[in-house]
Amino acid sequence: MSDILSILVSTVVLGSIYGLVALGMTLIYGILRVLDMSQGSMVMVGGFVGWAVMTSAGLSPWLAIVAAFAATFCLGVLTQVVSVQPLIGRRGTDFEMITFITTFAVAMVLSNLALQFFGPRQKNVPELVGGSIHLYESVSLPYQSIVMTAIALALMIGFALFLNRSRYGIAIRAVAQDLDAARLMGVPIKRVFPLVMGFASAIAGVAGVFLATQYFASPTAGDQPLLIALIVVIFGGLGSLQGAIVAAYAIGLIQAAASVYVSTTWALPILYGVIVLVLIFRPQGIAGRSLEARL
Amino acid sequence: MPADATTPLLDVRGLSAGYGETTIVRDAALHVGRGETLCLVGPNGHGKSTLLRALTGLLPLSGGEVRFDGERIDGRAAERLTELGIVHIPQGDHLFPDLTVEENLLMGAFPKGAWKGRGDALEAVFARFPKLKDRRRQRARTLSGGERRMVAIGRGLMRQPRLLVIDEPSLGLAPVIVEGVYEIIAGVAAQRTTSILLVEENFTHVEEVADRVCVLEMGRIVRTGLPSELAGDAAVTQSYLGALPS
Amino acid sequence: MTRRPSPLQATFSPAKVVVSVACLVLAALVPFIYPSTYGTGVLVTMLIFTVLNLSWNFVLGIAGVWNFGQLAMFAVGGYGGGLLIIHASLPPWLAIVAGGVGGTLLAVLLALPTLRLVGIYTSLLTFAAAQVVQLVIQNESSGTTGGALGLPSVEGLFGGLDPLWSARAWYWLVLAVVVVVCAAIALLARSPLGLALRTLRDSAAYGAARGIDPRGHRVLAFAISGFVAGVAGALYTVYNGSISPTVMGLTPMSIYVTMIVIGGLGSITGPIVGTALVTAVQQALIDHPGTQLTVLGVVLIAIVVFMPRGIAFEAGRVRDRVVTWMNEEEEVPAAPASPEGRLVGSRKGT
Repeated sequence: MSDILSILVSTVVLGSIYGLVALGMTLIYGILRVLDMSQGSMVMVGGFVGWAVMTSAGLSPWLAIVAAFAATFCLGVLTQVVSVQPLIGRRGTDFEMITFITTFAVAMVLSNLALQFFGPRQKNVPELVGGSIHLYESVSLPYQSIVMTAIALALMIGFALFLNRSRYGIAIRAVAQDLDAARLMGVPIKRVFPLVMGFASAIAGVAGVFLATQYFASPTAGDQPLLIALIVVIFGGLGSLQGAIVAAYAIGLIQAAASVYVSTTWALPILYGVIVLVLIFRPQGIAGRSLEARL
Repeated sequence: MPADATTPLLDVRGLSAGYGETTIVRDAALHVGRGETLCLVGPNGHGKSTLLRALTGLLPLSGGEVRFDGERIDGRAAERLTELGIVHIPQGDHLFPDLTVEENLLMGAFPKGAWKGRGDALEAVFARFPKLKDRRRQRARTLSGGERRMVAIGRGLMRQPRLLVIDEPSLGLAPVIVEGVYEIIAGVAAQRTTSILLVEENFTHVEEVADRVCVLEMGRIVRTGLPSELAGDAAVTQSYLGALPS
Repeated sequence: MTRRPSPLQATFSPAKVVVSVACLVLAALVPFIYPSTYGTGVLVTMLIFTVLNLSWNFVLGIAGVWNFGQLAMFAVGGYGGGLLIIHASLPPWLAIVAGGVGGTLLAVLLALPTLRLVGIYTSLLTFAAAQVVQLVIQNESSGTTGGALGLPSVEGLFGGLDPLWSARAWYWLVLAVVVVVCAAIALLARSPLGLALRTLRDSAAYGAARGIDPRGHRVLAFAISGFVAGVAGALYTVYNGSISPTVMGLTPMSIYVTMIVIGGLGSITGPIVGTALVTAVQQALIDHPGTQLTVLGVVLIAIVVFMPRGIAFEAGRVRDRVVTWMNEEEEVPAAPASPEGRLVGSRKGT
């Protein structure tokens, strides 16, 4: 029973964090047709901003979250302008492959810069809030987890509402579906693309603060979240927002269960094994369209 | 040159345009008055779409000028022209497939000014197209061909355009559906609040809606006149039936 | 006019052969220009990675398959060769070939599930599969692979020579491998197989219409590149005396991708140029190891944006322009069309 409870708690926490990163990645793919490999770095940067604000400057954790959001938003816009925008409309190149590589290069640069500025050692980041609720036997639910999940859900729901109800939200979805028609409607494409990457990177940055408080901040802190986000995004279906959110919790569950029942070290290979199977049998994932995935 | 009620809304002189080295449209001249409906007809492949794209900023001009309400607009990008009230309904609808009918229509009112009045504009469109109101929450990809055409036209009307440019509204539709589409266009034309430039290959319905007709052949405007004049004209019918490449 | 040259002729045209042999001679003499064991060692490592990059470029650039699992084949070749030397006492030469075979096996295994997939999905599958291989090697507890620490000491080659000459012998050995692989890929690229692969890369629909079997060709492309990658891996193990899972990480992968893209995806000399350039940059920044990746990342983005076909291609363009310019001066003025002119001409001819 306590196993199940601890798995549930982990699932909700992990799922919320993964959901933030995966949501951004799937959105970027849906709108820009770019598989953004720099999202992991945004998580890493968020973690460092969290450390810098909370530990180094000793300021409020809420400020850390806002600062991380702002910093990674700017980085996301910069990434789009430098490594994606120049390649749009270029003939004779495989756009998706080449932006995969250039965003990968951005990740490389950011990790290395972080290594230069902050050094290789992991930095501890304090909790957002202390204390916990005792649930059952050895399982307790930290207030921190509740807060993180609440913020993550709020961000995800806010995003979904934005995309479904607001003027720019509908415009962004329109751009993903028919670029030329969106142009004819007067949608400023050159502004939409950087904004989308900015927002996606920003929520990844917030996820980074959360992850840093759970574990630590380090230059390689983004590697695993990137790989897991890739897994989540495929599982949920590239480009599908609902798919990404559902998949995030599903993957969180698989990882939590694997950690408890098998071992933490084998949790990741098991996840990869799962995704290999998904790619073989149902590459479009939960909510994607099969035409796009198959030869 | 200040415009008054007598200057045409759209005035095109000596327009030439093409793709790269090839000139498709040569020295075209036409004008659309305020509240008037002009129909551009001609055999396929003779430059009708090219002319439209040059007019609406999707293609650069290699010669001539285009004036809208007295102001020169040739050379401006398509996005800028929509601000002036020129709405281009392209061939083949280009609806947003996974947006609902209502969302597609709302996108028609995207510019800030139009967005404010979107509620009223939406009601007006639904009044004109009651079938669309029933389907407002359906995704565009699930609609029939005729319904999609209606959404495309409705979307164009959302912005209260001053000039509506429609490219082949009958394309790909069954004759019965085409009748319905032209009833709508005739309704808009009759109100005289919007000028319409219509490109059509199917001459049958042109007489219902057009105040004047231009014939485009081999990239040149060869005849302009009233629909009744041209319908009875042997030369025009020949240009449709006899101008096939041998 | 001139008949179109056969693949053999096109690949080995006289001009190219002369230039290539000249380059080869120069390359072979390099160890004498820098008589340092360390320097030669760097060059050996560079050449080993050149072999890897040639193999990766074949499947990624020439065949256009989104394969991001090449390092798994490299690793399998390296571990396979190493384990055979340790446990089966296989002589190193054979182990290198065995490494190639191991690489091929994994490559084919990897290719099969990707056959139904397109673009990114292939990359994700190969990427994920490579991660699985790395994690399995790392966490494997039976002690066979040595886990994160890598294989125990593996017997090498040229052990009897003194360090400088041993390094040189290695250099010439791997140089020979590079030459062979390069020539093979050049031939393949122009062969019907190569043309088929490039057709499928540029337009799968057209390829299907011409009856080119996308699946068979993909497996073949994987197999060929897998063999070469496996050989590179085994060379690595035998040269370094060991191999560990870190060769497969994201960081090395970024560096190799950088090498290939900078040199030019899909070109044959691209990986050579790219690997050399990046190695040069790394050596130049040897005192500032922390900045290497930043510099490489920035250079990669700059090249993709400004020189998308890579340096080798742009260099080729410059060379072509120079050749054209040189040829312009040799233009013979056109014969005059007037009767007098023709009379003069014909009189000259008699």
